[in-house]
Amino acid sequence: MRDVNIIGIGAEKCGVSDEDLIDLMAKSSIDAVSDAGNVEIDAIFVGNMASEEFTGKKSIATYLADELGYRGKPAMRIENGPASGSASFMAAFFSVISGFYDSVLVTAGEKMTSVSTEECTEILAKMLHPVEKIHNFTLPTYGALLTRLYMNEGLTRDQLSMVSLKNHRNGAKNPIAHFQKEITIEKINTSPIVVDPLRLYDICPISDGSASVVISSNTQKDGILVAGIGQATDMHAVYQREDLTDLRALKMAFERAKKMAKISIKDIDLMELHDAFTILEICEIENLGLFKREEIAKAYKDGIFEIDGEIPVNTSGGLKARGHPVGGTGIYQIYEIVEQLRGKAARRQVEDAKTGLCVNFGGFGDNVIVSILKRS
Amino acid sequence: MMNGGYCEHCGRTFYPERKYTCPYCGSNEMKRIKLPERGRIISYAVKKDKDAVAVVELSNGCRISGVVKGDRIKRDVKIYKSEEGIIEILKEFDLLE
Repeated sequence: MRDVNIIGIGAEKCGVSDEDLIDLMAKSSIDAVSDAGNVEIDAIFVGNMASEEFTGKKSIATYLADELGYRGKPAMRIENGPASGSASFMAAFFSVISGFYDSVLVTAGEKMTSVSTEECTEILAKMLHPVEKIHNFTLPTYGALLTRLYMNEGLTRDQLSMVSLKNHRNGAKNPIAHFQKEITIEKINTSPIVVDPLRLYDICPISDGSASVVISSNTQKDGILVAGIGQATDMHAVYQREDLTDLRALKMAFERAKKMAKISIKDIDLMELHDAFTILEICEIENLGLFKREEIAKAYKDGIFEIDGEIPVNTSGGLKARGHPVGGTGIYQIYEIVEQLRGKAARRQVEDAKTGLCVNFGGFGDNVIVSILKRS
Repeated sequence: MMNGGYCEHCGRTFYPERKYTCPYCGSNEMKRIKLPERGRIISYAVKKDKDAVAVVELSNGCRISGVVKGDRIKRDVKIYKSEEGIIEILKEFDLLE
């Protein structure tokens, strides 16, 4: 199989935007294609979860192709919940590694602030199993259920708040982050309870945004190799899992990506994890096999996951501070890793970063995509 | 008594019943069983001004989700399914006895 490289990236600032989804997508697309030296694009893959509910628009891929002046070029949208971004990336990757296309544009985004917070929670809850829906479960419900399980085993409020503290600190250094301001432990600990024991600062914001990458069989001097990619599912009704803390789909997706990249966990220099809720970052670190449950709080305290730490996690600010335009998040994660591997992450730069990993959840761990990128 | 599914291949029970396959092992050898009414709360979440919700493991290992009725959370619970299909998690045993 031939190598597939990321040769161009573009991203709009996450946050509350005045612009429509199509404009956010068009802008990040134009930037990525320009960054790729205006290479000839063979096709477009669009990642988006819910343009129908958020913006009233279907067929967003056709619309984007048209706006970009790509009359005639193939375009399709991939919906895979909050992993729509990574799923569109994966589909694009298959198209290039197979030799079907040579260079493709992947654009993923979401416009979410067009509806109220309550409507947004309702739209997102549509990804749950019907039995969960009938009991008024939402995604934050699962965040709270998981947080309580860890707290029952001794995780303290202060320890949990380390996640939000770090991610806001990193977001403050990221010009495309939704929140570019550091916060204090006190502010996190006294923020309103949303679903007990989850507090406001345990939950990612509702963001607008779009990010794009161009992947290609071309090799350029600063091309970033897509070294491995893996996906797995778990039971759709999350309550049915034998153990809510066991992220089986993450473990399987990681194994698959790792095997393809022919690396071990020790080779990974930094990670973008799916911290839709702060507890998920902790749970993912555990399930990736980085640290045992009882060691994680100390690792946060020792600064292991900071930008200058042993294994930096969410240098972008993560979903918590960079933002979570749901269908777009997977590409924002890849964007951050590419900036890091190119050495262009400025104040967030991880020294000598060679290999990075992204974890994108399409639901509460029931559809997971892991990507491994390498400086070629 | 609530109905659930029992997998004759892997021996697990699950709720709701399923048409095609066991969610744990993928087998299609399933039958309907009556679920036990007693279980313990695995974890719960409390929304402001709303009933708490919980995941419960029934005495035979089957996991369900439901709405907690009442103010206090107890570990050992009894369940009841309303006509609307909502599983109510009841904390006091005498409510159904």
